[in-house]
Amino acid sequence: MSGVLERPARSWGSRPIPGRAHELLHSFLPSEANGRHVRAGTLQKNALNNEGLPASDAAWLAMLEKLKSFRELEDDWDGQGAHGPSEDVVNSAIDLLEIIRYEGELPAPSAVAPSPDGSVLIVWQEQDGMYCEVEVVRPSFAEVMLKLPGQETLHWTIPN
Amino acid sequence: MEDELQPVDDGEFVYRRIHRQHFQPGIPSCVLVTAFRPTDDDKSGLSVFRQRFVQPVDTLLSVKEEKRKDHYVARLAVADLRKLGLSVVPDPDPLGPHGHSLIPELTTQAYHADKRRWKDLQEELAKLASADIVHRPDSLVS
Repeated sequence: MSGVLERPARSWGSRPIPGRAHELLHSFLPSEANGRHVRAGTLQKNALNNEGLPASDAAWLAMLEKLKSFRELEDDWDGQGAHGPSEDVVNSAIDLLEIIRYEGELPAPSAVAPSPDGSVLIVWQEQDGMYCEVEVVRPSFAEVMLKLPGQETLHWTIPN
Repeated sequence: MEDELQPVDDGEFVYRRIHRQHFQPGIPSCVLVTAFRPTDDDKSGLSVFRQRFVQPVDTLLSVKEEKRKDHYVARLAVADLRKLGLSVVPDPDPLGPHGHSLIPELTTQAYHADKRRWKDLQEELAKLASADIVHRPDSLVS
C-alpha cells in the first residue's frame, strides 16, 4: 500500500480538487448546516498514523473496493428486476468518496450499496441515531440526507 | 385455506425480502434504505408477504433460483407501518408465494414525486426491518 494518500484524480466540478473538496465537506458537515452542531463522538475526525494515512484506512479501502465491485452488477442483479448502476455513476461515487477520504474530515462510511434504480448510496451511521446518506443518482450529482437525533431531517444536493 | 383477500389486520406481521447488497452487518441499522426503494415494477406498491400465509423462506420462491441464496428476510409489524402512515393491502399472486400484499403508498411514482419525504420514511422502515431479521442467506446453504 502506498504511504501517501494521493489526491483524487477526477473531480465533481471544474474547480481544483482541494477547494472543491473543502466546499463539499463544508456543505456535508452538520455543524455547517443551519448552525447545528455535532455532538462529541459524532462523525469524529480520523486520527492519522505515522504515514499520514487515516487510522481506519482499511475501512476506507474496503468501502472503495466494494464500490468498485458495483461495476460488475448487471440489470436484474437481485433477481427482482433491479437496474445495474452505470459505470459513470459508480465512478462518480468512487470519486466523491475519495475526495471525502482525502480531506480526512470524516470516518470511513458505514456502508455502501447499489439501489435497485441504478443509483449508488454511501451511508454513515452511529449508535446515537445519527444517520447520513449520500446518494449518487447520476454522474456528478448526489442527494444528501442527514438525520440527527431530536432534530429536523436535513436534505441538500451536491453540488448545491 | 384462508382467504388471502381478507383485509390485513393491525395485529399481523409481514415479510420483506432484503438482498444482501442492502444488508451491512455490524452497524446500528443493518438493513439499508435501498431495501425499501420501489423499482419500475412497483407501480402499485412495495411488495410484502403476510406472515399468516407463508414461512420466511417461502417468500423467496418468486426470486430467480440462483439469487435466492442472496436474500435475507425481515419481519415488520403492520401496526408499526400504520404509525408511519402506511397501509398493507392484499394482492394475491396465483403464480407466486402466498400472502402477497402491497404497501400501496410506496410506489415508484410517489417516491420520485417526493423523494425527501420518502427517504426519511425509508430510513425508519430500515430500522424496523433491522430489528427483526427472520431469515439469513446462510440458512439456504447446505
